Amino acid sequence: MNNVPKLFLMSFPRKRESTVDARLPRPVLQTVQDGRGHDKDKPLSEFQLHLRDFNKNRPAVACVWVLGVLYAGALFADFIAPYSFKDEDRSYSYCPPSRIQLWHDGKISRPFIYGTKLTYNDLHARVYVTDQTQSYPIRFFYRAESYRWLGLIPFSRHLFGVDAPSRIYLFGADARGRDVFSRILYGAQVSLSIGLIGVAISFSLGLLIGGIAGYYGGWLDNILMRLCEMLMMVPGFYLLLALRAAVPDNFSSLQVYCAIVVILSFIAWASWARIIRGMCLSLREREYVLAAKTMGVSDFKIILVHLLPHTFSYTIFAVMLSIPGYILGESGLSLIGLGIQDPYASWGNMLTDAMSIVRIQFAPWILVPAFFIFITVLCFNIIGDTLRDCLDPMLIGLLPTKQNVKSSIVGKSAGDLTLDQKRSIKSTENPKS
Amino acid sequence: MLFELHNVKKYFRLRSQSLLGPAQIVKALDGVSFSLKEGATFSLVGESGSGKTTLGRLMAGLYAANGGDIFFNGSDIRRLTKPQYRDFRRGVQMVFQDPYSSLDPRFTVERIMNEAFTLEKQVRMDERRRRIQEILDRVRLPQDILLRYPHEFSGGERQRLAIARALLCRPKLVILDEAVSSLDVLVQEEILKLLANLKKQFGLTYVFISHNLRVVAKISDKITVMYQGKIVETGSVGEVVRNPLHPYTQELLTAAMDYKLRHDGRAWALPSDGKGVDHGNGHWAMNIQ
Amino acid sequence: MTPDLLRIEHLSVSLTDTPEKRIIDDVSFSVPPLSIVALVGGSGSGKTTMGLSILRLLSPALNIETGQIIFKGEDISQAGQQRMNELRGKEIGMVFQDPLQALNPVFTIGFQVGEVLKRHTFLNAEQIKKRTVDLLAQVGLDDPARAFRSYPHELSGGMRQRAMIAQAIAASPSLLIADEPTSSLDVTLQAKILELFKSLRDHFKLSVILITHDLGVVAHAADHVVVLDHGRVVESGKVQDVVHHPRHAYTQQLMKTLKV
Repeated sequence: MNNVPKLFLMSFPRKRESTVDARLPRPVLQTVQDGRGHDKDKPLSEFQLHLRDFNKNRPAVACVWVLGVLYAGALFADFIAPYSFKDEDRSYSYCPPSRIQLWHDGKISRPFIYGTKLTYNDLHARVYVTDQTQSYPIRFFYRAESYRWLGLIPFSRHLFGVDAPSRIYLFGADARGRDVFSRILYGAQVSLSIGLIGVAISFSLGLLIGGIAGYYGGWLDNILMRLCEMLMMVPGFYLLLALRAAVPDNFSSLQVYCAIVVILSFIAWASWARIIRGMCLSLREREYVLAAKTMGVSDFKIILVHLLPHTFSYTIFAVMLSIPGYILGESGLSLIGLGIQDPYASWGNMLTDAMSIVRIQFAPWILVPAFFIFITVLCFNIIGDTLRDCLDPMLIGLLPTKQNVKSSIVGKSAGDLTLDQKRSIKSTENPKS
Repeated sequence: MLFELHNVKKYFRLRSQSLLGPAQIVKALDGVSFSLKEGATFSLVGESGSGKTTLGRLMAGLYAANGGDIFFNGSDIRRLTKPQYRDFRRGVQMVFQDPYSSLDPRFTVERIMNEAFTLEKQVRMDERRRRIQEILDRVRLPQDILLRYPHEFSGGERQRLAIARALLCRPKLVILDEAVSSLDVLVQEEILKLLANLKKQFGLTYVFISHNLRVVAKISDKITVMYQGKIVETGSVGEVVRNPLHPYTQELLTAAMDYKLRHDGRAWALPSDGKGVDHGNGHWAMNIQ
Repeated sequence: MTPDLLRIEHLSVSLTDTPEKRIIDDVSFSVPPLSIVALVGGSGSGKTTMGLSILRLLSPALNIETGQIIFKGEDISQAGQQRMNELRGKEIGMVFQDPLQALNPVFTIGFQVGEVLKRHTFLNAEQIKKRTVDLLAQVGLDDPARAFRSYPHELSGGMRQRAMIAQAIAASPSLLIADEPTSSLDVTLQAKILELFKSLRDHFKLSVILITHDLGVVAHAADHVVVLDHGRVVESGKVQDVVHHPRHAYTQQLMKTLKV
């Protein structure tokens, strides 16, 4: 994947403007060296062209990196987190975040933290006192509690840690003294994946069924839509309670949750299917669909490549907006005891702890999961917006054509326009004149 | 005979107005008989609602007839074997009216062209590329457009792309459904000239559907006039233009040539038996009711 | 000699961002009262932009660089929006190419025509309805009462075009701009609509600017013709002169397409 270094570099702001003049044609060739060291123009594939267009939008690329960091954190949670998600120590309940010290006696030293001790003041409130006599260096690749990465590979090194009895709390501790930072990482495993799985299932089904119903029409359409309506009639809350009761008792909390999300997404597809079907009903009369039929393209292929991609402007946004819906819905489920239960961590789960204003007042770090949810949702939205722009053909190829091509191919009066100009003209002028 | 239609009927059912009432039926084609010989340019003329588009789409295999028989190269198109079906699909191609919607706006030109090879999957990439290059040459489009999107071209160029796509399948018959009606007059001329050239080069047969007799008279050999789902007149171009027999044909002619109306645009009743008079030289006209 | 209804003098319209790129380049022509003037050109010649700039309906990406648009003695090229709103509909009406797109699909024809009357006249609802039905009959709709109640998609193409024309002339303007009014119609309907324009000129006492790409339409319906090519006027004059003795190569090319 030789695009990775390019992606990495492109996400940092560059000082100089792009050398590609906006009035020049959208380059579709890439100069490569062939075996003998001569430059050759190699045409880029469509995917590479879309990738390049995506890369031009730096906020979106930055968001991809942020999400990449979050997902990497989730993947390597066992390694990065100093403590397990259930590792509690009540003597550090609601401990504020540890301050990492870099100076000792006026000199730079390796990072360390001071010891903290829990005391109570006159009002019986908790106060943590820093004991500057004890310093605990932060050790990297620290050997601590062993774990099995991905449930398979046994490992016992963590990225960093401190010796007992001190504990390092990068984001502070919760009521039971569990490290919020570690729980964020373990929670990411659940929260980030559940959204994707749920959306993947419900949208695949919705697109497929909606596409089939919209394309064929007639009795098939009728049956499928009545099925959708039946599924939509089911009241969600009672369904959840019923499902919870139906799931076997010996499932762990995590397995219960997965089962519920899977079942919910099998019902959520109904509303998407209706909308997609409406779009496909009008799209199937388009002449390019008829042309494909005359060339012998099979029905399924027509639905897949001609009809469904034209629903993307709606679909991508709907997908991007419903992923956070799953994340937030999960916290609601945890509240009524149907989601991830203690001691397992998920971002929504951790937020139920933060529902009391009193606690937030004196331990504000328990709101950190909200920040991560916000960042995730923001990134998905920005990426979704940019993806939609990249995939929309009307917005891509609007850079003018080469000057050396015969003038007949230049789109007449619109030949030298930039994207914004063309977009604003198109809104009033009829394309035929 | 390339194509033969016998008493073909096509009805469309509209949704009924009331819950239990009978559904309205639109008789798009009401007993049409038609035969095509290889090598000529046939024209189907008529206004919207005459059934000419329906007939064209029926011949392209996009609709199924409700009655009558249709034969392509001697085989009934309702009972085609797999290889016959493939020959039919490749043998009959269509160029549509609106150059803005006959090419999928999400497809690059390369993908549009490659779609034409759906029934010839065994053709290798280099052979495909060669054929695409050749066809782009013939329709006089430059070679470097493969990665561009349809909306980057003007109307005339898009029609050329549509024609190129149709010709990639090496068809015998090309149905042009109002292919030049949405273009400027000068661009129309260019495309018509191109079509005439391609016909000679590839040995094609054209069915040219239009509502404008002026355009039709320039390029076709035989004209068929349709009205309310029936054929009301048919004959060679010279005959029909010089001596239109049915009043509806006369109406179309004066409207196209003089932008006036001869009979004030009134409706004509057609005899249900569809009988007409043959005036020799292949010139036939339906009786007036 | 009666003064011209509309005079375009050295009008140039260009892109706001790149003023060197001109859509309309130094165009001058005039529209006398009670005449049909045709603006002919291929795509990209700027004829639609010409029509829109008279009514100042250009998108923000285009602007009038130089020149004057003198309507009944008043230069409206720099007039404010309020003045333009008074003129649009009341003095200058516009008919667009595709009636399905130009008419609002969720309102009846009667409502849309009535809207114009409500804006520009002081008639009450009863009178508006009567006048609307009259108008629909005058533009040639067979059952005006039924058309009054219908939605645009319930009418056929020709009837829709007539309804749009009725909407444009409702407030009795003196100038009608028709942007490719017959391009989406069949030949017989085209002939009828051209007849309608001629009768509007004679009975409604208005001038028509007919924007088209078809010289045949021009030859049979217009009195004067202005031929545009890439934003410039290449030929203009009385229809008989231009059609029978075209001087510019572009006009001659257009005339060739008329031969069968």
